Amino acid sequence: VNLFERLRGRRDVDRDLTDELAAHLDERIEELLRAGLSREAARRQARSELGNATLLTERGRDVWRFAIIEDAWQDLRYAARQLRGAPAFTATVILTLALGIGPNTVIFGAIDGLLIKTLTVTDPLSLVRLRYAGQNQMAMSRNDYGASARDPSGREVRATFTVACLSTDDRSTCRYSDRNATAGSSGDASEGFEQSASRIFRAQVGLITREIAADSRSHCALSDFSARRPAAVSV
Amino acid sequence: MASKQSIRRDLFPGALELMVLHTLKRHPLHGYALVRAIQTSSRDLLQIEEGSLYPALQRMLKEGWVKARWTTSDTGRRVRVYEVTPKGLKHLSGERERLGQMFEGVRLVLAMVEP
Repeated sequence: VNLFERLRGRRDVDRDLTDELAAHLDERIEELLRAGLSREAARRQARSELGNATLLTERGRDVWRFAIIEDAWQDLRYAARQLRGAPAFTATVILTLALGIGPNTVIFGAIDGLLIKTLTVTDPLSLVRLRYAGQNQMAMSRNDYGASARDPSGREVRATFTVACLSTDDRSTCRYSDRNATAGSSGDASEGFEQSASRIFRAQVGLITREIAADSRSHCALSDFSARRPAAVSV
Repeated sequence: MASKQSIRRDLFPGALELMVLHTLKRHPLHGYALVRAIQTSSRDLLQIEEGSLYPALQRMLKEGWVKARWTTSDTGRRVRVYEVTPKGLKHLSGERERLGQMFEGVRLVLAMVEP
């Protein structure tokens, strides 16, 4: 008997006991009615005699509970004996399982990290992605923007960043604002842009934003960019 | 109710199973009919509590002493009827023998002449 059948058997025990006690109660009520009691009095007395039906069902179920554990233990021991007796078959099974489970676990781990898990920051969907694209101030595409800022030593640094949104919906359209950029330092920076949501792996965003946080130029550049909800931008 | 209490106290372990098996040996019965049959056979000296009977029937099912099936009673009600199995008959036979020895022992002790 496999586990599924055992669990189904347990449900059957519950159902049988419940039905059986209901039938018992009906029989007793009939008898009391024949003895001249009113239906209400008969029902009350029958219920009183039967006692707590739920408790009775539980006690009946308890009889089988340990049987299920005992059967499962017996099955396990039997399986272990069978496997010991057929080492080639056992090795094949273990190898098959390992090959089946291992790659699946790795793939799921990657998908979980890249697609399912969100970053542990407030409102992760509003994060923006900044990518350092060199210091030549050349915007290579519509998504590349020059930015101008000062590093902690006060030296003006220039860098080009790519901005995209971390989102899979239309809510988090990002807007570039050059109000804090050094005026005239970059033709690109003077242009605002609005980009609809791009599908970007969140883990990738997390990695990159952390890298930016460690980079003083990037850190300065953050002041040049603002998301629609800038307060939620986390680095 | 008072008699029920005293009976429950006085029954020795296994007595209920023994009576159920012996009653079912005559013909299959459902739970309520079993209660009635034992009560009638004992001339109302024994009253089986439902709280004892149904768990006992489950134990006996587990041991394989009885088997159960759902059927329709004479009154048209769906009932679960129990019948004794060969394993149950064997158990009944062994228990009756042990019970006979126990009663004989008790009888001999009680038959001792007081000094």
